[in-house]
Parts: sequence; structure tokens; C-alpha cells
Amino acid sequence: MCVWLPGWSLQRIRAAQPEHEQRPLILFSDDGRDGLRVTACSHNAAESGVSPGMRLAEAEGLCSSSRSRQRPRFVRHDPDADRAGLHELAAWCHEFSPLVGMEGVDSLMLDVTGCTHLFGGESGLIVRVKRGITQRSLRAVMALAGTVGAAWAFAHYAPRTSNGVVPTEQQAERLAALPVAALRLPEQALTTLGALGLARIEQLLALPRHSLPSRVGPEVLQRLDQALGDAPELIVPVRPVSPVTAAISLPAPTADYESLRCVLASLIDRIMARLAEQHEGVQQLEIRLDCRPDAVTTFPAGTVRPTACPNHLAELVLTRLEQTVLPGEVHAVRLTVLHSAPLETRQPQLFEEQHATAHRRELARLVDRLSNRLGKERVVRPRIQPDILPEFVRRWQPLLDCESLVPEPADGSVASRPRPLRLLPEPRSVSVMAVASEGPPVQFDYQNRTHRVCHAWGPERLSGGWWRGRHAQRDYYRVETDKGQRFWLFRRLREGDWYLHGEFD
Amino acid sequence: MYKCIYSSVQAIAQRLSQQLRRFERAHRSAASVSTGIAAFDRLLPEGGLRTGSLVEWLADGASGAGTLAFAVAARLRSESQVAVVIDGNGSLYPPAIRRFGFDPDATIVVRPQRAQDALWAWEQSLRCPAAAVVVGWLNRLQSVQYRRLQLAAETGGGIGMLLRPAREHRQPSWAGLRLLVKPQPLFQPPSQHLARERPPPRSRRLQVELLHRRGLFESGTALLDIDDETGVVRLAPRLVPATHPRRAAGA
Repeated sequence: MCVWLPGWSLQRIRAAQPEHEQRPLILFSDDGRDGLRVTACSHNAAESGVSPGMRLAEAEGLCSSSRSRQRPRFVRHDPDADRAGLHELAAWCHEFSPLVGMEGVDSLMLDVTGCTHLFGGESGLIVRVKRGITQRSLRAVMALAGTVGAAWAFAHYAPRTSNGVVPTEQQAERLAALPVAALRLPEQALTTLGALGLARIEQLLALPRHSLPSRVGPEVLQRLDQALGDAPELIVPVRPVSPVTAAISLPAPTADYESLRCVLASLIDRIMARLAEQHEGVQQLEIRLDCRPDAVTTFPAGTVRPTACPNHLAELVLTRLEQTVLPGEVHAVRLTVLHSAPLETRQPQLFEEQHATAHRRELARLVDRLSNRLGKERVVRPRIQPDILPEFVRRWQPLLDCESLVPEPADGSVASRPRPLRLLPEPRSVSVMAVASEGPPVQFDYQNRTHRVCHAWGPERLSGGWWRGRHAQRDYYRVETDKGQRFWLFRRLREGDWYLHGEFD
Repeated sequence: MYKCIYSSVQAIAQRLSQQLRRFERAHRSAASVSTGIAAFDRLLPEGGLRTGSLVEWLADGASGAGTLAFAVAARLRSESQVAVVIDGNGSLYPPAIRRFGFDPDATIVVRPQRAQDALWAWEQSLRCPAAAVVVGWLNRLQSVQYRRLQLAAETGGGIGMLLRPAREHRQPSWAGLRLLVKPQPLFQPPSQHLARERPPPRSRRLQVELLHRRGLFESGTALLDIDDETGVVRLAPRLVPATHPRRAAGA
């Protein structure tokens, strides 16, 4: 059974604040370089001419100039909140089916095989679900069919006259009457089908099966089979989140503060590890101590902001422990996370603890901003790895990948010879005149100029890299020209040609 | 009646002069940090670089200006801050900057591909208070973009070091400090090489000329030597011109 909530983002916000029901609602989001654009708008906003994709400023202008009496609401689009809301709704739907999944950003898929008799048949089930949805001030379209694909198609594209239940024997013919977009195809496939003039599913069915993948892509055939029931499709279930707990049963009961401290610290570490996977921090914790003569002591510990720092939490828990009176010796300890929340700064600490906290957050924000716009690979930390050839010594490590704040043990030996500040990504071939065939360069051409060499330091022989396929043998020279500029040249021993590799800028 | 007009004119003049003084004071209230290189500090009017400003280094390629800029920048960072290097072509070679005290773990290297991305990265980095110094090469820079960078530096409180080609010295600049760097060849061309052989010096010499300093009319030149092995920057020793022996009168 498919439950489709049209315009879910708008519905969610409307349901949260029903007093603003009548006002036109416009959702916008930051489109990266293009600025703020409208992502969704309600019907009364659409009447003023607002449509998704237009700039926010334009939409504001249209709304202010329109004759509607209601002031429009502009709310930032929050896809995470939408998903969370849908998740909640999915959790509620567990009342009707053990297997509930989310399909897309606005639909729920329930597997109701064998559950319908509990609600008075299929139509009874639909009525129950509809009632629950209406009680939440939401609007949904429901369809019950034999397969996931068919249910989705009927919910989204079937005419509204039916009550939503599609008997199995009529499924194929009613599916054939629907447009091809009901098959959940990607954009490109839809364009191709449109270009070929295939608008309805029955036209697709009329084509020979084996020709479909090569003509319009493999997804079309797959979706068609899934809708008709010839290919399996699984619903990815949404699991209700169970609280994170950690428990330990002590081999020997004790009331010793030190032992309890160690036990609590290890349990806190375990909990932190579990929550770290979801990037969440603990906000409210319940500690339960089972004491010897069948007595149970529980006490809570909480923080104002979610924390991921084990030491901080351990301190709080131990302070509370000191304040509690234990009725006897403790033989089991259990920690349950009552409330956890996403951490405010997800970025792991980049630099060492001695850097001030105030700068750390700013730095994390800067790295986030730069990495998001330019790409993770473009905001990096320089790394030096020991290697013979200079171009492999240099390595860039994306900052977003730096997990630990402990720097990797650096290659202890700083290069004993001076190295150029700028190393060209690829050594550039230059024509060089040398006095002796094995000797230093006397003159070379670079950047459309002839440079006369006044002094050359070298040669420094660097050879190696046979494991990369080609064994490189180079004689490097550091040269100073008549203008005072310094360059790093090398000659390949075997071929005898010269290259410029770096500039001592 | 004239008295009250006169007093109101005086009041206006006083208010204006107060505002002017406040403006001037604000200009000078930013702190000056020493570069840690005594020879270089002596060239600067306030004995250091002003925070929240830009420093423009004008030089041709492979001239040593970058080395000096990085040597200066290495000492501007405090414990909790980082240095940002904006390197469009990804040509920075880390083993070279380690010599100057650049800690690779407290250095962020940004490698934007397009020019407008580079300018945006410059602005964002300068605006961040955690970035003590932002160094990088910038060839083309329009006046409006330059002004934005200067404002970003003022907001963030860091120092921006722009390494630019020498031909841009004719372009008006928003930098607080403009330095023209010319390498001084230490060797004679081989054709003029004299018979006596001196051991080759282990440093390179740069002539640093202070072109312009915002708010003050100053200029000056210094000759600096950068040691090849250690990266230490010193004032070049000046040779005292030999005095001609006085001719004995009547000889």
C-alpha cells in the first residue's frame, strides 16, 4: 500500500503551525552559486505567479504586488526536517504493518500482506489510515495494489474516483492506462520515451521486451517488471530507533567508588562509540544500578548541549553518583541514553587541543565552506612522505578526511639540500646548452626567454621509482641566472634531455 | 546674531575635526606585529606589519620573493591560528616551506581551479579570524576585488600576503604595504669571471624596496640575504667603499 503525501514539505510546515493555514507559503533554499531560489509554493502563492525555480526576490515582488490580502510566509526549506517528519509518520504506520518503508521524499510504502483482515478488509484499512492522517491535519492519497511499483503508480497517477483498492485481476489493465511517468523512471529515460512518442504504459507493453533496454535504458524494463510483479522489489524498512544502552554485570558486587568509576567510564565510552556513528551526542542519560538486596537505584545525568566528549560526561555522572546513597553493593550497571541530538559541529577536531576553542569553530566553518564550494580535494593539508623523486614526496590530504588531531609522524629528515618553493606539476622540457655533455647547464630557454646561468649547484643524483614502472635517473642542478633568478633543472641520465622542475621563488 | 552663527560654525568645525581624528585613530589603532626578522622589521615604518591589512609583494617569477614572504608569514601565526596558502596551480612544494617553520599541520592549502573561485577563497580566508596569515599568488586583480580583499582582511584581523608579478606595480593598489623585490645576482656571468675563485656564497640576495605605505609617505630599500640551508634572513653586509689614499702633498 502506498501513502502519498503531495507537497510534503509544505504540508509538514502547515501542520506544525495551523494558525497560518490561510497564508500563502513559499519555501526557498540556497542554491549554492545562484543564490536563493524557491523550491515549493502553496496554491495561493502559485496564483500570484510564483513557481518553483524562480529567484526569491522575484517571488517576493510577485507576492507583494498581488492582490491577496494574506501576507505570504517565507520559510527556508529543510530537507532533513522533512525526512525526520516522514520518519515519524512511518513509525506511526507500524500500527498497520510490520514493514514500512519510505519511497522518495514524500511517500510511504507499507507491506500489508496478511494484515488487512485485522482492519476489516482492504477498504477498511484505507479508511483507518485516512482517519489517522486527517487527525494530523495532513492530506494523503492512498492506493493498495499487488506490487510496490503498481501501488506507487496508482497513488500518484490514478484518477481520484476510485477508493484506492485495486484488485489483482484488474491491476494489469488499469496500470496500462497510466502514463509512463508512473513507473518511477529517471529524467533521461522519460525524455527519451517522450521523444519516441510513448506516453502510456500500454504502448510500452506493446513493444518487444528485448529491445527496450538498448533503446531506452535498462531501468525501464526493470521498473515495468517490478510494477507488473514479474521482478521482485523490496521495501527498505524504516526501523524504529531503539535507545542506545550499555550494561555490564559485575563479577563481584562492590560499593567501591573507584571501581564504579572505572565501570561507568567504560560504559560511557561504549555509548559514545555507538552514537558517534550517527554523529550524535548525549543530552540525557539514565544510570541504573542494581544493588544486592534487590534494590534498584536510578539517577539521571544531563547536559545543556549534546556532548560527544566522554570525559565531560563521565565527570557529570560521577558527580551525581557521589550524591546518591547506595542501598547496598552494586552487581549490575546499566546506562540508557534517554535523549540524544545531533552534534552542533560535526567536524572532528582538526588541530591540537592547545588551540583556543573560539578559533576552532571558526576554522571548522571556514574549512566547511571552502570544501563545500571548491570540493573536498581542493582544501588540503600538505603532507610529506619519504620518496626519492620529488613529485612523489608531496602529498595532499583533504582536511575533511583528517580524523585524528595527532599529526602523522613526519619524516624526520628535512631534505638536506634546498628545495624549490614551487614545483611544477609536470617537469617541463627545456632546451639547454651545456659546456660538457655530463656537466652543468650554461644557458637554457624558458618562458620565451633565454636565461644565462651564472652558477650551478649540483649535480644531485636522484634515482629510483622502478616500482612505478619506469626507473628514473636524474641529475638535479640548482642554477642561478644572470638576473638572480633561481631554478631547479634536471637531466635524465639515459636520454640526456633536460627538464625544468621547479622555481626557487 | 553673528555671535551665535559663529559659535555654531565653531561647533560644526569642532565636530568635524573630532570625527576626522577618530577616523585617523581608527586607522592606526590596529596592532602591529613584528615579523620576527629584525632586518625586515627595520624596513617597516612601525617596526612590524599591521594586522587586518594586505601586503603586496611585487616580483617576477623565481626571484625569491615567495621565499621571503613565506619566511615572514611563518612567524605571524599564534598557537590557535592557522596559515592559509591559496595556490591556484598546486605548485607549492611542502618540504621547502618546512624550512621556514611552517608547521604542515597548522597550514591549510587551498587549490582553487578557477580565478573567481580563488578570489572567493581569498576573501573567505581573510575574513576568518582563525587564519592569522593568508599567502598566495595572484596575477590579475581588479580594483573592486582588491578593495573587497582589503575589507575582508580588516574584518578578519589577519594579514594577507599577495604575491604578484612586478609589472602590476603600476596598478593602483589597496594594500597597506607594497614591496618590490628584485633578486641580486651574486655571481658574475662566466664570461666575466675573474681568475680568483671565491667559494660560492650559501645564500641569495634580495633587494626589497618599500614602494608605498598607506597613510604615511615613506620609502626605503633594504638588501636582505636568505640563507639557503637554514632559511634565516639577515641584512646583507655592505662593503665599505675603500677610501683612496691621500696623496702626499708635494710628492
